[in-house]
Amino acid sequence: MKKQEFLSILAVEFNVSNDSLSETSVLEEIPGWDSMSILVIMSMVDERFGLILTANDFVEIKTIGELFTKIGPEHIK
Amino acid sequence: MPNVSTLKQKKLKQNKLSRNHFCLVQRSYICIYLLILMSISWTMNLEYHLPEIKLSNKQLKEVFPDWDYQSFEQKVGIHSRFIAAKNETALDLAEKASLSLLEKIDRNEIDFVLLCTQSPDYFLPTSACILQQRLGLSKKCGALDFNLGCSGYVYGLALAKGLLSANIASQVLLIVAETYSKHLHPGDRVNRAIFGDAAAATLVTKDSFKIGEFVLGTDGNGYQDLIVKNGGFKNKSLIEANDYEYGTGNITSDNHLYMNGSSIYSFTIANIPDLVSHTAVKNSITLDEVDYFIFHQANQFMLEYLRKKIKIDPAKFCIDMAETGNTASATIPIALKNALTNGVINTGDKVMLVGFGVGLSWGATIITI
Repeated sequence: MKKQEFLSILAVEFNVSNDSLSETSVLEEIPGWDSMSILVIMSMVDERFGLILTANDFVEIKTIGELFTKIGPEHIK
Repeated sequence: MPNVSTLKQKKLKQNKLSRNHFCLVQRSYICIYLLILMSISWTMNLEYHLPEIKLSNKQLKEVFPDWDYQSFEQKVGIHSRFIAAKNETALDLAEKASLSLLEKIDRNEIDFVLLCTQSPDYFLPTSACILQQRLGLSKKCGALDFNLGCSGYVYGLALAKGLLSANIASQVLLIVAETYSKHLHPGDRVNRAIFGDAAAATLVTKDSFKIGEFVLGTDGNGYQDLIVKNGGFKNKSLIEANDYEYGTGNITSDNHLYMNGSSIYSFTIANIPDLVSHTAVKNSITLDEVDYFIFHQANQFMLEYLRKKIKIDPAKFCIDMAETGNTASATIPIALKNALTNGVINTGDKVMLVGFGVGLSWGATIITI
């Protein structure tokens, strides 16, 4: 999957405009971010890449770019 | 005068009619017998009880003015929950649920009480012993509590099946009773919105619903993901335990319940799909042959994701938490009772029950109603 495609899916999930999200965006600063948001991202990543992220992963993942790194270049380019 | 041959024919005809009549009567008796069998032996004796105090999202919003409860309702699917009164305990709820059940059955026949709770009245004695006295059950009745949360109903069925199979008991009263509200910090917005209190009582006998094979599991590595740290003997309750903030603006302390929601979610989506498929295999059935699925009603978003991942038809998948919230071990029997009452499931249906949560602990089985 291309990074831009993932950003578009993320924008739909969080109901924000496409151009408001980039690799430097901080997850917790996405408008509407709440206690369910990590679960939304976990589901997206599992559904599309078969990869289960843990709560500990999100201690390190602060930005969308760091999320891409965790998902890995074999999945997202 | 009729000749001999005509008389013979007449007699044969009469015999045939009589045989047909006999067959008809016999068939009617068989049908009536089957109907009686279905209505008596196969009736699922299950009742639940909710506390009187109902707490709506709008009422919670008054406590937490910044809370976007509409978004919560849409995602989590909980609109209200019932909360035990200050002096009302899980044992009181257990008693009320049991009394509803005992209106229909002979209490003297009950020879074992299994009570699942994580909010007992005392460290000792066990709540099930007090319940034996309150319900006026036979003194020849065995009684014990077991401490599990969201997997508790499935484990209770497994224990009841074991007691019946080993001829240790013949009529097991299985109760799940929980008041998580009493474990919650007043400032814990998310958990006050998720959890509700309730109790459910089920009569399990060899002649009641059929209980199939079980798949159970445990991973103690996740014990800190859903925990009340203080109050036991490892850490005594502190008069002044420090409050701390977690998640998005929730307050708790070590005297209260803490839940790492994202850890529980990660565990669930990683393990529950396999639990469901293994349970089907162990019961020699395909998922398509299961008539209905009742998972622990944790939250709608989680269940919807699991349903899609496992590829279960939405018509066969229970979502029933809007009014009562997450009542821990009581969600499955509450949903089961509602599905029976509303005719969603009927006699003969195969229903997969799937519990998972605090422990971490999980279990599933298939019951035939």
